[in-house]
Amino acid sequence: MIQTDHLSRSYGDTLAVHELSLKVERGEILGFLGPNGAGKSTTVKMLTGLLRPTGGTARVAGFDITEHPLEAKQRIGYVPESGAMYESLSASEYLELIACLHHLEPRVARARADEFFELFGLAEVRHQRLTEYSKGMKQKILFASALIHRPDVLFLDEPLNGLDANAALIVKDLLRKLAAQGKTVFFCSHILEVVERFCTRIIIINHGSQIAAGSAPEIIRATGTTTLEEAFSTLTGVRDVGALTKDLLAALEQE
Amino acid sequence: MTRRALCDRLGIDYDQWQALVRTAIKLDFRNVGLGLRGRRPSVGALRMILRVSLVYVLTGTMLGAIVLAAGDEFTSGVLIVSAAMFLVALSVLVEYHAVVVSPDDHLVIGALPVSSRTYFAARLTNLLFYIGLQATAFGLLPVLAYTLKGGFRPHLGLAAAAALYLSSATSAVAMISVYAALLRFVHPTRLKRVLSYVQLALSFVIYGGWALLVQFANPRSRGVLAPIDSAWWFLNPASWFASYLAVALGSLAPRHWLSAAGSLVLLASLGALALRYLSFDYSERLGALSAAGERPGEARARSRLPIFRRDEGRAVALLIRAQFRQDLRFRLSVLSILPLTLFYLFYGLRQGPLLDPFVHPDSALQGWFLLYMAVLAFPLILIPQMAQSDAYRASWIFYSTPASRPALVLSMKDFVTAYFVLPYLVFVGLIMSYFFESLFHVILHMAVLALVGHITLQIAVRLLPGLPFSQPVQKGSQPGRFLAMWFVLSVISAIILPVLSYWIYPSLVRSVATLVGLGLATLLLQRVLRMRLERLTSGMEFAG
Repeated sequence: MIQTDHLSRSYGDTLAVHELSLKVERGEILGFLGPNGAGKSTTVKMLTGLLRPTGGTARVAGFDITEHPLEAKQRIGYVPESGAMYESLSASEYLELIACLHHLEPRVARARADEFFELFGLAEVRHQRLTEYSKGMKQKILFASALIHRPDVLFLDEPLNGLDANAALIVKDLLRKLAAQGKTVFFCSHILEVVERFCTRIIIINHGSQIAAGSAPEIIRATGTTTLEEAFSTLTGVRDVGALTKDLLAALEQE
Repeated sequence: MTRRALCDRLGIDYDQWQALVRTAIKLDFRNVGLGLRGRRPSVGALRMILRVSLVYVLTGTMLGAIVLAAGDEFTSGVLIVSAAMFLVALSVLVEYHAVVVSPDDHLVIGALPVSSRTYFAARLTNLLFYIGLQATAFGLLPVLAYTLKGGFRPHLGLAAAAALYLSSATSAVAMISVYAALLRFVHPTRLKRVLSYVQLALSFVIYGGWALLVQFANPRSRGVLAPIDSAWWFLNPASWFASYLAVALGSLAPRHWLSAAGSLVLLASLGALALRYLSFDYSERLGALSAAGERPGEARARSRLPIFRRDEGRAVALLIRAQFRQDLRFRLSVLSILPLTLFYLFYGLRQGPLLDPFVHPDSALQGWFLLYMAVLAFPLILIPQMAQSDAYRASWIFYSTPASRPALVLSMKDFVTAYFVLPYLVFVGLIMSYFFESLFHVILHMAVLALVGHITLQIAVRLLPGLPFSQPVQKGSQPGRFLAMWFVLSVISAIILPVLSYWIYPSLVRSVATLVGLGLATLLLQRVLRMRLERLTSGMEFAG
């Protein structure tokens, strides 16, 4: 469902993503990890058509994202890390807008929006403007807007940001069921425990290039560590966290 | 042809276009009034629309009077259509350029299946909606004057309305085409810099074009609205639209018919050009533009901002400078105003040498009058612009830190004084020292102007208090505010300058007393302003 071939993106002399080749199958939940600035969001932006690659190709849901962006975009749902949305609209207006842009029948759109409002416990506040929503409530609406058109592929960039424990449980359960139905989930997150337990496969990138791939146990075994967190630190270069924090605390005390 | 069929023909998705336009207008109206406790956004929107409309209606009233006074409809038509085109160009220059070049929307809908053409068409429609509102408020009374002048002549009113709406649309689309061409042909990483140069150039063209027109219509040179009889006038596209009036009056002159047809060809060509530039890969260009902003910046030396060394002053100075560098909307707005100064200088020089007001009291009525007026005008235009930003959500920092809000607002005023008013006065002072007979006169005159400018700023801050970049951008407010300030400041300057030249400057005692009085007044105002701001800013709430 997702396939990249030497996908690259540069900003002037800076390489944000360097010849990334990956493949994600139908029904898979891929955890896409990397330290800050590794190129995760740039990759997602290229795969969702927000950014044009400077090299290589990417196919999503069977369509080249550069050659046939509209066909690909009809089949994807996206929860951006930035949480960008039109916050002066009410939640129901926002979902109506997204449904219109996906050409959903108004009747169908309303019914699906109602389902999400019920699922996330937002039915009472659906007519309130998004400016009045908490971060978690907005995140739920972003989820609903990513799913309202029943996409084949979901791109989720830090999707659990701001969600309370109950909402996070609902979202994870929902995603598992969607994957079981054959939907593909591309999951970017810094919460390694969630990725370890939730994703069927993991790719770790650093400095724009893939440095590890496989299931969580495979990556842990390959790095000779005991947890995914340790494996991640080993792979991405932070080796002595204890020493670093000790220095910082000492500096703070001196102040 | 139905709208849907027309959209299909143009390759625009009708449903998506409609949804995007409806949303954009909703958002614009709802964004008004945020940040002030207890004010409902809809009330703020209504007030803003009424206030802006009032300014345009007042301008239209003057033009309506010209229609009634002028002997020749075509001549008054040229003047009115020129004014309409100038105002629209000014609106796009200082405000609506973001409709095309801002990547903000792209972050929200870039991943949705919306084609570039549909996306651009929605943005253009949004712009034309505001231009239409502006033209309606501005043209209402002139159109009425044409309809009723010399008996009931609805065909003339219709021709005037058509001329106003189509010329406004042409002006808007012409400006948009320039920005679109830049977006299409300039690499995103260089776009900010290139746009800045183009903005300066456009400012000169627009203000210069207007001045040229005023010069030609100058009563002293041609008599008030003497009939236009020269073919040279047809170099001004406004006369092509004004030809509708001549045609409606039954003119069979080929130049009227040809220029009327030419106006339609011009609008259609510009529309096609803009669509061609923008529809192909507009979304991708916006995406690239937003990504270009994410590039790691070049390492800069430690910021030197003399005067603003600590606390709120330092914070505000750093913020304003960074916004000027990074916020395209703010940068272009500032750059659209600054060239006016140079233009006034040029205009003044054309009137003859700058006369020393201490020696020649009648110098107050010279063309240099505008140069002095700019001291008051620019800060007044800049202050409200500094309160608005697309990044207004970042203003939580002012509400969650122990920063003094009055100090933040006053620092904004101080920054404008230090970085705009004073350099401008030094610049003008250098010119004066060349023309004036005494350096003492220059220093005294500059000191008086600086104090008057500062008092004006203090009044502006009292009337429009706002934390830096803390309110959402209110579309349509800038040109109206621009016009309103122009009227008010013209009157103030017309009073102050003759008083200075005829009564105060001839006496050294009165001059020094005025200087001391103004100094005391500004100190007193500062204290009063700080106390008022304590109360005014305590009612402010985070708009995000």
